[in-house]
Amino acid sequence: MNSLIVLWSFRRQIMRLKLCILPFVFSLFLSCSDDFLLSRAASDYFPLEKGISWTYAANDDSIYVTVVGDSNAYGHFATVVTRNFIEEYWIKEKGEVKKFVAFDTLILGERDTIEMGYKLIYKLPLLNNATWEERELDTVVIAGDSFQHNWRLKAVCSFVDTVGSYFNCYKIEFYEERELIGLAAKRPFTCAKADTTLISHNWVEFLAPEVGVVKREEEGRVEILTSFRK
Amino acid sequence: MPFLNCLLLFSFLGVGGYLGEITPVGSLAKYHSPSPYLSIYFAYPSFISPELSFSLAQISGKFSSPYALNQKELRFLLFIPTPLKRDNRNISLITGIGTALWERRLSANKERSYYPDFYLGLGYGEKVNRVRFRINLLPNIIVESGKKGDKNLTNFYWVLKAELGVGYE
Repeated sequence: MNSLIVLWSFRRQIMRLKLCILPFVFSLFLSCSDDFLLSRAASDYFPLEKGISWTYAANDDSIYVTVVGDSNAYGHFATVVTRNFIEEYWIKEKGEVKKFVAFDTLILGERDTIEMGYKLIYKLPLLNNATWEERELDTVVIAGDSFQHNWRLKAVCSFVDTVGSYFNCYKIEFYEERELIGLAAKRPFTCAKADTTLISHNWVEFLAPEVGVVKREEEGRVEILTSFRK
Repeated sequence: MPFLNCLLLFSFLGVGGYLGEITPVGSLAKYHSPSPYLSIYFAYPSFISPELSFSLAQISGKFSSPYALNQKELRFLLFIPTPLKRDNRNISLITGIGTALWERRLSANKERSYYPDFYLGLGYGEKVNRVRFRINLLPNIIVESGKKGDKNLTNFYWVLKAELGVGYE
């Protein structure tokens, strides 16, 4: 009789256990989705290790990008990347990816460098709807005239999943603006007309995990990754 | 609702909490650091001590931005007794399954997805009157599977959970 009671209570416990496990078994099936969130969390979207190379096809051109190594450039320890054998300098630290930019423009009939330094391009980690913005304000002297120089870059990131044969990709839209305001116009008691030059530059990039840029669109020109070597 | 249903199935409960540390291992460790987490549990005092627990963890990222990987998990553990026991102390083998909501959060932006996970670990328990103390060491494997294009992909991720618990039963 006692063994029957023990057996009955054991059966009841097993039944309870089964009922407890059941929701989990269902949830395990529900959990299987095509969203690879943890894969994104564990991935590098802008690898800059020495030896990595990318080849892009753009219209009839080919673009060869290679990570050459590290070097001290313009006051910073940077990664040297060649783009069609022209050197670029990148810094990647604490979730920020900066590129050395030397921007020159034709103003008042003279070509002059109005900008030189490391500028924020990517802010990691990439996340759907994430945005970042960087601004710089300084004064430049071109042909003896002073200009107020405003630079701003706004980036909008969105998750697009598949780009060609790459998945878990993010699309980043970049909006860059450079504004040169002639300071003569700001001086009191002068009748000089405000001399403002606005240079806009927009482009779109698609980044894949552990690969980097797989597609780039800029003013009607599309660069598509054709080979990647790690 | 399943959580509430499960609770009602227990006619008598042990209740307690855990303070633990979640340590990402392998690929997750590349950008994430060990972080503390809190958990509450409801246990049924029986031979295999089935336990239902809910935990909240915020795994900090190695980025300067306010980024975190959050985990909200509901898990079911079984404490299988081993011959290693003496008086009110025992060492048990722990197996379990769980389902977790993982969330990547950066300021107000977030991405979230549900993942199944599995446990196999060891636990030390000690009972003083009606108070139970526990130390659990739980390797946790998370399964990521799905279809991308015409490929079926499955990834596995590891985290190690070390937790210290106190409960009343």
